[in-house]
Amino acid sequence: MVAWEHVGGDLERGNLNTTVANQTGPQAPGARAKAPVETDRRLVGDLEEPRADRLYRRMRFIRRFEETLLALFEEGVLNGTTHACIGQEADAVAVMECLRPTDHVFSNHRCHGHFLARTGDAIGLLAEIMGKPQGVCGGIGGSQHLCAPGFKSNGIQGGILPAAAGIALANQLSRADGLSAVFMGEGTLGEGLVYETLNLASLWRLPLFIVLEDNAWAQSTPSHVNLAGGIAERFAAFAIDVSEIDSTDVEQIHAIAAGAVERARETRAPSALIIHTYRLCHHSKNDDARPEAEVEARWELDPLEIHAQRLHEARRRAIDQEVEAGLTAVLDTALRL
Amino acid sequence: MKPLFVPTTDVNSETAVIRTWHVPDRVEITAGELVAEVETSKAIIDVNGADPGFILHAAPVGEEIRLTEPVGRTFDSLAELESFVAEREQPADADVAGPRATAPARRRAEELGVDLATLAADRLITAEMVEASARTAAQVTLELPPPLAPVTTLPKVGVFGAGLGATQVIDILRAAESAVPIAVFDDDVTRWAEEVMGVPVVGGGDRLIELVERSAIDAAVISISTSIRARTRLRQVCLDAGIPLVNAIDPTARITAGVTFGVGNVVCAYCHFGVGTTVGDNNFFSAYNSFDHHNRLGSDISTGPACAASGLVEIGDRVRLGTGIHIEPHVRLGDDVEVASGSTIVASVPANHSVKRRVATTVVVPRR
Amino acid sequence: MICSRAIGEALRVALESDDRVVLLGEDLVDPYGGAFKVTRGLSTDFPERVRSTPISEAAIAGVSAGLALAGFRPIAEIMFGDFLSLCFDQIVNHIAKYEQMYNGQVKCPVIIRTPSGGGRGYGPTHSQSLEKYFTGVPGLKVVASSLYHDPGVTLRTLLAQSTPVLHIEHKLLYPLHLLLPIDGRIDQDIAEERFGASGLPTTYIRPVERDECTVTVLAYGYQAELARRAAAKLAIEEELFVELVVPAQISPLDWEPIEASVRQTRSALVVEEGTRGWSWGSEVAAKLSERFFGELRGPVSVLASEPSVIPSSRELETAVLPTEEKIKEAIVRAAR
Repeated sequence: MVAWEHVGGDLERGNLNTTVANQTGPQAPGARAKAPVETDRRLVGDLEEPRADRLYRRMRFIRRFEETLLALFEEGVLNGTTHACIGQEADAVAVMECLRPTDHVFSNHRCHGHFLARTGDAIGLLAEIMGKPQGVCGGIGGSQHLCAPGFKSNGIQGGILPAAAGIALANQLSRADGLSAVFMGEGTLGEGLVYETLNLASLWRLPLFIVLEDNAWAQSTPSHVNLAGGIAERFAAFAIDVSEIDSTDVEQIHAIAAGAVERARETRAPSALIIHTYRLCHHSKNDDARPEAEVEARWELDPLEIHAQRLHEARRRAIDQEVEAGLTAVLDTALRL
Repeated sequence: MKPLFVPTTDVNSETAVIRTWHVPDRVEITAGELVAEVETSKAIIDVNGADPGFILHAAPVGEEIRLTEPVGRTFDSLAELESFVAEREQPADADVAGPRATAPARRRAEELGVDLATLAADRLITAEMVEASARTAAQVTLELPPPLAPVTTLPKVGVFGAGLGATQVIDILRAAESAVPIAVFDDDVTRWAEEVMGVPVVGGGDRLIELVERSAIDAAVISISTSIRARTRLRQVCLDAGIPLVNAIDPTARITAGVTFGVGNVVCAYCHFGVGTTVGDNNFFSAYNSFDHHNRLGSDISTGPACAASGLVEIGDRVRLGTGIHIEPHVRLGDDVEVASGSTIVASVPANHSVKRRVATTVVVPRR
Repeated sequence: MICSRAIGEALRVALESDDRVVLLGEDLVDPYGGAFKVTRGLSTDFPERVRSTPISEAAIAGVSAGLALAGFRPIAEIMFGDFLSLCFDQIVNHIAKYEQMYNGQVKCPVIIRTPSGGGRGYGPTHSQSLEKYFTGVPGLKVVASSLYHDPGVTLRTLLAQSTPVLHIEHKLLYPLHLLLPIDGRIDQDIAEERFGASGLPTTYIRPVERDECTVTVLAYGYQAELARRAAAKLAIEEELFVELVVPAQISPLDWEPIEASVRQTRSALVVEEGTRGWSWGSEVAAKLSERFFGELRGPVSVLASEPSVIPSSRELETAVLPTEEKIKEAIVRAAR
């Protein structure tokens, strides 16, 4: 571990021609050199696979990972808190499909889906949540505080927005062409810092790409109790370009996301993509007070089921088995750490 | 401008601490108005303004002033007061070219006729450096007398301190015939070559150490009567230099058998130490002190005359008693306690506290 | 050179020599050049990297965090130290935590500069010294400018490091000329510098050698200058010799240079402008008491502001803040 009280080591002058957003920041002297993450093709697929298959596989990967995680918590194998994203897998997978390695992603407390869709590092994430030194942050960050190349998350609502804007500013100053993407929820719209950041990003024309997942509930509070006025209007008030979709269909979401990202790259201006979705699991653990009927109805719109219709039954089952095998391997490895 | 002095005939105090200002600074006062309350080592004294006018405090509450300097000044007008203040607002060493020296050093240099330029130019000059320089100069220029050289088998004693206490100690030693005072020592170079009751002042502390090392002197008695700080400091000097201290006990003192004394104590005429009493080191007991029985007395204590303690009294270190104090049985005076003259103490006093008595002051004004 | 000019020059040198340096803050841009004119002239010469922001302290800190994570060296200005409360979350929960939280994979070397302190009658919300709430935050350095430390050297040292920094600049220091040690002297006093793990100096100022000093006075920023003046007067007027110890970095502290002085004098007084209690001074007193238990002549004393709002009226303000007079009295008590 780097000693925090002692400050040492000169930083090398960053080479500003490289895409700044690809760095995780200047390398700390003494930080453990990270081995490159080996991703399992069974979990993340590859570009050779038809996109429909790949999208399903990745959603299935996230879904099964989260379910496994929640089971481990139930069994008492894990401690601490976590925020699963069951029901929202399509958002992560669809958006990451449009991003490049030179872009940067900042996520929030509900970050597993974003993390897995971005990095595919299941063992790193599981070990991290287990508090193991092999975890992506050595067990120090835990479920909400992840860091990997091109990806960071933090657990303070709204606090990540200005950091993402700062990374966008860095790209602007160094003429790098990466986007700085940030994921937030509709509940975060209560934080004042969000509006400070939107104002600044718009004034300075920062290449910031905001994905807002409106899952209708902020912890235990329905969004209509939290939000005065409309969501899209908030971005429009700062002259920020907004796209909006109400869907859990990964292909639909991908279509609109691709268009938004394309425009963002062209204009280099800030923009927002609002996805109206639903969280099918608890906020964190065993804290779901939502009306049962409402939740049940939303299970009908499970993104995995909707998209699975596009696959042959046999193909779907094959992918399910591959994902299961991949995750079993991950779990085995993790439990032996 | 009329200076206002603390009205006191206390010869034992040189300074007073300002306890309260009854009137704010720079206000108009009437003749005879009570303006301040000050505290000397003996008493609390009320200060009345003698003249009407605008008063300028010489110092704030808590500060110590010399009794030879005014505690305040009255001016006929505020304008006069302000211009007096403006003139005085020079920083202590502004416009003073030449060697850097503290204010006490400059004062001392003037008093002793020392030229600051002859001292170290690369550092801040202190009063002690000035005095040391004066002593060295005096040692060179002054012809210092030698100690007395009596023929005797008694210990030859140096009296440390050339003030009035020395007269008492010399008298006691001669009367007791327990030791012979052959020289007086004092770091104040203006006393050198004087005589105290026929005993010459031959130099300062350095000279005492030198003479003890040469075995010309066997022991010392510290003769300072009232300043406990000085007594304590000189005792340390003797301790560091390995100079033994002896007791100087007046033959009229009545010391009951079994009472134990440390070293370096001065016991003046008609003192009484009752049965079971123990006494520490380096204490100065003025005449007619009585410690009834089973008293425990510490070290570095100084008392005025006519103090009486009942039985089973404990007095800590560095306690200062004024004149005519009565102490009831079982009382404990903690270390560093000061007691004003005339007090009657009926309960213990914790360390570092003062027992004070109020003294009313009479002001003399012309008849109208 | 006056302090504010010296800081401005230090920023200029930083911008010139390192194109990772970016300045953000309110009203920085010319011709205004900052509320205290520290950044005057800089935006003209470095228009892309010296930017005025809207009134958004939290965003200023947060955007600086992002810039730092991405390899830049942002130096943010918060217009009054009183407004640090608006960036508390970004400083404590983000900037100071990134490196450790992410197990050393990133650095977040943000420098936040802010004018602080009272004495100008600006009233309760523009006169405070809030650095006491940031001392002791793990992962954060708190540095205070003083007249005895060259701001150029300090900034260069901080930019060669990569820990986040809160840089406190007392506003009453701005118009004063720096008093840097020349040939081991400041004014007429002996001046000595000692370096510790922080990389920044602790400066000693004393009228005579340490073995003649009877009190150690520990202070930073403007209070250090008041203490220096009080000590100078006491030396001349009363022959009371004080060793003034002024650390540049006040948290974490380099303890060794402080201990070296207290070990000799055996009496310590801490002077600070933050409110009394639960403060920097409390921490120093506790640490020194622990270290020197039984060796000191008395408890370590702390002179601080009264625990109240800082009034606007000159007289009332003077009653709340430490003054040269109060420092003199405190030194006299500590010297016993």
